[in-house]
Amino acid sequence: MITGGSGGSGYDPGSAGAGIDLSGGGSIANNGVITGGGGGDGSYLYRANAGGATGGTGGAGINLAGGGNIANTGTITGGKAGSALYPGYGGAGIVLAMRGNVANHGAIAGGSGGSNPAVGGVGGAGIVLTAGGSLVNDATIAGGEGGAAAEGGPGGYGIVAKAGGSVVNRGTIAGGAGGIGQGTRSHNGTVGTGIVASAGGVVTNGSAGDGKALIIGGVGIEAFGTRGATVTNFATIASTYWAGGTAVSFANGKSVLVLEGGSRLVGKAKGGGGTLDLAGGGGAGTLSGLGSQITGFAQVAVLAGANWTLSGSNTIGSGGTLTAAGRLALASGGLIEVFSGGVEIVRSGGVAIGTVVRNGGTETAFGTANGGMVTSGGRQIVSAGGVASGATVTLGGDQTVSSGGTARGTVVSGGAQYVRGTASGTTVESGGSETVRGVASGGTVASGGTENVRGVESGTVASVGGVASSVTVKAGGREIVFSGGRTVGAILNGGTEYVSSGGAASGTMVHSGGTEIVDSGGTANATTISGGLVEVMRGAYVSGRVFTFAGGGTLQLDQSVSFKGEIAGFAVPDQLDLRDIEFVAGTTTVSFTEASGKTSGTLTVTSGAHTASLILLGSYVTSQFTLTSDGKSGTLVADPPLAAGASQTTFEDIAPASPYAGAAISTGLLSDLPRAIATNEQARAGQTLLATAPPAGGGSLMVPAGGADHHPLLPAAR
Amino acid sequence: MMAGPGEHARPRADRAGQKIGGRALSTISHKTITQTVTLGAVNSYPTYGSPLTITSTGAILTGAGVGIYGGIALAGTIDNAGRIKGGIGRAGNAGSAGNIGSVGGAGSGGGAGIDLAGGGSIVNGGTIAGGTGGAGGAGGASIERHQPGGTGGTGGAGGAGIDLTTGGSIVNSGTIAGGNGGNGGNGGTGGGGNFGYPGTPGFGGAGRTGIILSDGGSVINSGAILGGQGATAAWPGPPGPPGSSSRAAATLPILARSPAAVVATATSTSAGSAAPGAPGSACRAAAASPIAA
Repeated sequence: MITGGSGGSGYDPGSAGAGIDLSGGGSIANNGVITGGGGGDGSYLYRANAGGATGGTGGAGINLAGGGNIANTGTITGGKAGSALYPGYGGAGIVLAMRGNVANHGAIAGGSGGSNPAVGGVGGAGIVLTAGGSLVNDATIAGGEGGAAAEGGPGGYGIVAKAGGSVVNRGTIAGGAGGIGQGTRSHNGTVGTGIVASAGGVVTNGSAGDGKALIIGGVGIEAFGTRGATVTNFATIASTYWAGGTAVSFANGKSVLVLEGGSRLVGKAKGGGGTLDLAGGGGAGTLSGLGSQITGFAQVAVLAGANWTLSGSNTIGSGGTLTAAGRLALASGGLIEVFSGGVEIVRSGGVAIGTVVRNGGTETAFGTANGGMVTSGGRQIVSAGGVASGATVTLGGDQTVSSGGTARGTVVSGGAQYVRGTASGTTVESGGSETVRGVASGGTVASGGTENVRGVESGTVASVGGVASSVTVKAGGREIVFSGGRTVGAILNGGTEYVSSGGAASGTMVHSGGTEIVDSGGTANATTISGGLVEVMRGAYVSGRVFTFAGGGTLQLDQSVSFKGEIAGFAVPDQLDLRDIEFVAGTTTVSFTEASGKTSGTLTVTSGAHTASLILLGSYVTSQFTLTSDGKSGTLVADPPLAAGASQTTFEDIAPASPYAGAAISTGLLSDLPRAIATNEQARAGQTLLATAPPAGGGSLMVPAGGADHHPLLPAAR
Repeated sequence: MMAGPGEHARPRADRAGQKIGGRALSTISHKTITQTVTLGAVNSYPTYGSPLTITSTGAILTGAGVGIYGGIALAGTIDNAGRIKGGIGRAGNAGSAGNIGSVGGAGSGGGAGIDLAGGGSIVNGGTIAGGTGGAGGAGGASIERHQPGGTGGTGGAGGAGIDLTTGGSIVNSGTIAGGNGGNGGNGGTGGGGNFGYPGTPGFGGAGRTGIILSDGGSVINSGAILGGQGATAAWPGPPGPPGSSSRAAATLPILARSPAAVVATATSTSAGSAAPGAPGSACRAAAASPIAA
């Protein structure tokens, strides 16, 4: 068998022989030197009738044509190519033409390319796996150096896998150096690729706890063709051209790059539509350049159990999906953006931290998404079982909390939150909206923000509409309760709650500046008016419901003649605004008829034409009430003010020497003593002031004298 | 064949011609044999019984043909500490001169160092080498004007260092080398005038493989195994006669193909990949390695 092959045409020199040719397969154990022959040199001249000569190809160190096993602790080298007008290329260190196994503990290298005054030849590959096979490298495998020339020849590939196979590298696999540029032109050749896989294959670089392995070349690893390759990196895959070069390049969607924690890429990674898995086999990992240095991966996945941190700027753009089944966090100053058709999926058990979702991007959380931001055109979907904490949704972005999903501490700043699951602690800021069809609790609606509590969504199987509980609505904020929606324990600190037809509010606390409007068909129950305004519109459903005053405020009854609710705690400076009882001085009258139990009575206000009969809980006498115009043709009913000249007891008179506690507290507790002092609020009948400490800065507590029931639980005055 | 100087007229089996275990043992020591040794079941010069031992003072350096040959019926055993080398191939005949010079004859292949058609087992601590291929014959000269000279003959391929056609095992701690290819023959002299170039030189012969195991086997190497060198092609023949209008090859400038074309051809052949970019980086791997930093 002649392995050197024939020469070419014209001036062509002969090709070289292999060191060993096992055409029928076999085994080779080498701890010596095996070298392919050098290709012959040819002429540098060109002749019209003969063409130019091609330098002879270097012979392979070993040609295992029939497959087999090679164990090398020595040196195996392909032959040097011959020089000619068209220089030859170097021989491969090993050609494994059939399946076989190579275990390398020594040095395997391709031969160098031929030289030429103009363009150098290509270096030979270190190993060629023609039909697959298995390769384990503990030492060095390198492509041959390109031939020297004015334009140096390209370096050879470290390994060429033409039909799959597996490569396990614990040493160094390197593309050959580019040929040395010579003369005045003097361009060095390109560095050869570390590993080329043209039809799939599996490459594992390093192992857990062993990060010294290296695959390096002009391109570290290149996989193309229609079959997918899988590259798992525990160590380093590098381009000799640094960040401007390519560490890994895939050409089809079947290929997978697995980066283990602690691994390193030097240069770009081009996915070609394939998959990038961030795994946890090597411990925690750090990645940067997603979307810039690392591009073209249709799927980027943080695998279960993995813990990765993104540093610098990272993006998931068009056609890309980031899936986190493990933990994905951001380093200080790090950024991950999902946009323009990009998708981030946080799997159950996975954690994504700090993701920014913007125009056209989507983040779907089945696991945990912490501290993200959803900006214009972006969407965060918190699916069943998923939890999103601390997200910020800005103008044009939205967070959708699906049934079974949970959002905590979301700040809706100009964007929208749709709650079909559970949201707690949401803050809705100016321009933002929260739509509740599930459960929202403990949130805050700030100035310019809106919370919409809605009923069952059409087309869904939900049987219960939205419920908002313990929501604080600040000045300028709005809570709107639509049909089927309910709000429980809302605190209106200057904001407005609007209960529309079919909506229900219970336990609302209306502080100063706050407004609750109960529209026709709306329901309000157990409302506490503490300085704010409650408007009960015509047709509102409040029969048997109690409105309790607790520190000022106004209950506005647009149709008081049919008001069937109950009013408790009415005292100075509370007001009843009876819009449908026109005030005519001397004509409009008020009377109070105490019930037999002496704990309630009926307050009757009549203009002659219209009469309202309101149930007041407590003990009153007719003379306590005053009537004035509300300025809008209605009648304002108030408790009389403190009589002029009445003696008062200051806080100094009643404050205990030390924080006082232990006494039984009756209903109507007013515990916010400093606030009461700040507003000069007075204790009233049926109420108790609990002094837990003297007021800071020395305020005074005004307690009307003349009624033991005004301060029954306070200690005796000093 | 005649025995060379210093050779024994017939083999001595293990110095005593004895058989051990039914096998004919033989030894070549303190002598150089210059013809093909045949490995056989008996000792009958130039046939040596197998197992054959060549000591460090023994040598088989044939002028032509194979160094040691074993037939298909025998799986031979050789233990070599000396030198074995196949013969040089015969040179091709020169082409005939005429109106149109004829093609030079091809050189024949060099002989293998060891060729065991029936396979076998070889332990080598010495040197085993294939012979160099024979040179191609020169092309014949063309007399007729405007006719190129005859093409030179192709150089012969080198001989294999070891050729175990039906497989076997080799343990090497010495040197095993394939033979180099023979040089191509020179082109014949052209007739001058248009197209009256010197003839095309012949192909260089291919180097041959150090070890060929055509039917499988095993190699354990702690020495050196080398493939043969391809031959250098012949250079253009002499230019046409003085005064002719021949534009002899030597007068043409060097013409380089484009770098991209060279790269694409080479790359696609070796790896099946698309052609990489044209060379031109000023960075070499060793100098540019990010890992070295």
